[in-house]
Amino acid sequence: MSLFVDAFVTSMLYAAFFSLAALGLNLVFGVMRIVNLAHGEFLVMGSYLAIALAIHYGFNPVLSLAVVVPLFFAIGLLLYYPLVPRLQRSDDPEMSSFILFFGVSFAMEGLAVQFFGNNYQEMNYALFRPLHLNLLNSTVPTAWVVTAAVSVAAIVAVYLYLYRTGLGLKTRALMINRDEAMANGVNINRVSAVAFGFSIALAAAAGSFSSLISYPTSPSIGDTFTLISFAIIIIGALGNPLATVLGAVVFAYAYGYTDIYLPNWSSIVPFIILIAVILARPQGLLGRKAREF
Amino acid sequence: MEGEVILSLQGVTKRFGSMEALSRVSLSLGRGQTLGLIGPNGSGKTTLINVVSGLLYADAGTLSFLGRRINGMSPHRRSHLGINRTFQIPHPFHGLTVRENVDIALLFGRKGRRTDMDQAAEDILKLTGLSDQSGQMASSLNTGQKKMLDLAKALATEPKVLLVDELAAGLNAAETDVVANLLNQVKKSVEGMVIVEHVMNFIRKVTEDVAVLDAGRVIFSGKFADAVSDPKVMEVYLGTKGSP
Amino acid sequence: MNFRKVFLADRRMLARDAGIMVLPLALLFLLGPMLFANQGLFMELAIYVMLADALNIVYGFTGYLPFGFGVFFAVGAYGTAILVAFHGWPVALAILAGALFSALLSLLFTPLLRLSGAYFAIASLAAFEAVYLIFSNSSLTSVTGGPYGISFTSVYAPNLDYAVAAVLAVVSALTVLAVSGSSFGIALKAIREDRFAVELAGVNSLKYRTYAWLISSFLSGVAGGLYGWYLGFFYPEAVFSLTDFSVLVIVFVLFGGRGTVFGPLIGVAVLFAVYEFLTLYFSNLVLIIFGVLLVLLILFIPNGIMEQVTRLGRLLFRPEEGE
Repeated sequence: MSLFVDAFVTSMLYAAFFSLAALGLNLVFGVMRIVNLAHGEFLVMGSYLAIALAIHYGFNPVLSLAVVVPLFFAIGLLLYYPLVPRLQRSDDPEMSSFILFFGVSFAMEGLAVQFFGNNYQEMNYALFRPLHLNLLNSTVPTAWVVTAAVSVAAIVAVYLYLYRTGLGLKTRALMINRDEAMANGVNINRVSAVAFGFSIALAAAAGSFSSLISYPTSPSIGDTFTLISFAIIIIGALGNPLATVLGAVVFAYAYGYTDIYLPNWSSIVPFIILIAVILARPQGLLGRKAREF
Repeated sequence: MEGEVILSLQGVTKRFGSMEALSRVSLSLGRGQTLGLIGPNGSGKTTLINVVSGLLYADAGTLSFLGRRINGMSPHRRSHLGINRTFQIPHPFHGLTVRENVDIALLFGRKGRRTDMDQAAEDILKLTGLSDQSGQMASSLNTGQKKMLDLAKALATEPKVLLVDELAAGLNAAETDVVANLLNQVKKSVEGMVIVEHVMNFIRKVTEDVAVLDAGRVIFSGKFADAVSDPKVMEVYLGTKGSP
Repeated sequence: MNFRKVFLADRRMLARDAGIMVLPLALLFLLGPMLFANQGLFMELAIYVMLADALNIVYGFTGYLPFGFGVFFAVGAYGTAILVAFHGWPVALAILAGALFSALLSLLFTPLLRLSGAYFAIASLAAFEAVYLIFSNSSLTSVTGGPYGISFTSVYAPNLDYAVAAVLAVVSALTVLAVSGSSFGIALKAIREDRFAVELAGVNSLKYRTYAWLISSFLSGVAGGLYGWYLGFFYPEAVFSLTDFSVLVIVFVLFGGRGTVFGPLIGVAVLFAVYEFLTLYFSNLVLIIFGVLLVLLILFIPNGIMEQVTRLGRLLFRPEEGE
């Protein structure tokens, strides 16, 4: 019974973290109809930076966010302008972006190997004292609780941006109807560039904590994060950032429980759920037509 | 004057979210009849064509063609049965030549293959005025030619009922006459035709039978001359763009 | 049989193209190993020709990009290895069965064909991962060898496997040529151009997409079986490599020109050489260089070099037809 409760609590914390990990990917798809297959690599890069800051300056990852978030936001802006507008003029932006960002992820993975080697790196748990906390009668690492708290805060921040600011309103207009938004004088490039910047910053913020709560950081783990993020946003609703949370909850609980009862098969779970959801209810869950005759 | 009913819609409804694009539409097309479908923008004319040709499925009601219920049938099966259409915004296969575009429809448009493909293709291209463009990529055609190619593809499947969606839109008076003549010619080779059009003069050159759609409902069905004096039709048109 | 019923292309043109295709390939496969004294390199070249052709049939012709399409290659390799190692089948039969197993798997995945664009690509990627995690699972070690790999060196035959692969690579190239010139091929291309209008022309697009999907997975499975035979022993990661047997192939096909008959062959020939050269001398930079190359490809020559070559040829030799 206590195993069951433990799984419930840890899955809840996973859900918060994976919401953050996937949120940016959904924002980009919603606003730009662009598939950022390098999403996981940006997360990994954020992770390397946070680990380096912890090792060399003793920064706690929460503190590193002050460096990681603005830096990756700027990187996002810098990448947006040469790549995205050009992509959107192509015949099939969705597929072209898919391939282009696979190229980006390839190059980033290569760069990561060059700079950080193929070894695993991990953030030090001991940065958080006490090491463990009691949550709903379950003992969990403090690092996980902090990760989840930061994730929730970031999601709330995105919500406030989308629903309480002028630029957020324009972002939502763009998500609902591109042509209409353009006709009403929304500066598509400005809104999209900011959304892209946020997306990269969110991925890097998630990366700052990823080695604490999920996989250790390595150049090749980016693909895994990209795929999990995709599974989550498709289960939730593609193009609707806040539905990401729903997807993450489904994913985290499915993963959390199989990890306890069928540990050998837990890593397949997200893919099976993804395929099942895509096939069973593409329209209902995705919010736009994905199926044809 | 018209014979038996070949295409009929009974209580056909199509919803997009909470909006009813077609609500309980009932219409019928007799053998040999050409029906002009008119109505303001957004009244559901194109949706109706989409539902009949199979690009959209009706949410309720019955569609029948030559006595067969076709509601859930995929577009290619309807094409084989003899329903085809053109698009308001033409849909040629851009990366293929004009001739290949027509060849596909000739090859796949009906069951059983024909032996006189070359002749058939040439005839259709000649009829639609595309003989000189036969070897060109479809992407290199202008909009008017693309519309003609759409018509050519539809004709190549040897349709029994042809649905024509705003073929004359955007053409000048002289071109409109050419298209009207063409449709009068096509009329002889099909068993029934539905023409969606904004330009009233154009419709009158092809047929006197009209149905008027407004907000997804059929508000009038009969002769053009009677439509003009119908109070409901007048109201719709006076409210939007004056008398038809 | 009426030629016109099956092939739309002119008979003489087809014969000419077949000649242009077979000669250089045959010369390459015959003389290459003698000149470079490295038969393994040409074995891999033959494998990539088959994979590029397989991808071209589904991606080039129908426009559907199965990002995880390497799964059929891997399953072909595993099917062959399992049948030989654990069930004592002769290798030729095992390769055929492995390829059929790939085709069967693709049938299982046919519901994915109802999806469009990125959904299809992502779903196929997820399918790839799921199948990989099943084959490499330690719970299934007795069936697949699990994470410890699988060995069937008893049938190792380094010259025979090369000869068979070279012949089949040529056959696969001819298959693409035949498909491209056939009424089946033109239906596939029309599906790529317009998924709605093609139905109105009477084409059952789901059926034809499924056929293309089956041919493609079978061909990938054959390539996988041959590759497994060539390796003799492999770990799951060696055949389930998304980079080596999906992404590289996509790059080859895109670079050459998807949907063309010669493009993918040129793409394989040129980029495989570049790839091998980089691996040999700058192995650290391969990922970075190929990543950047992919980005530049999409941005600047999304339709591949075949289009540029044809345009150049037209300008040089028949200026009146040029743009």
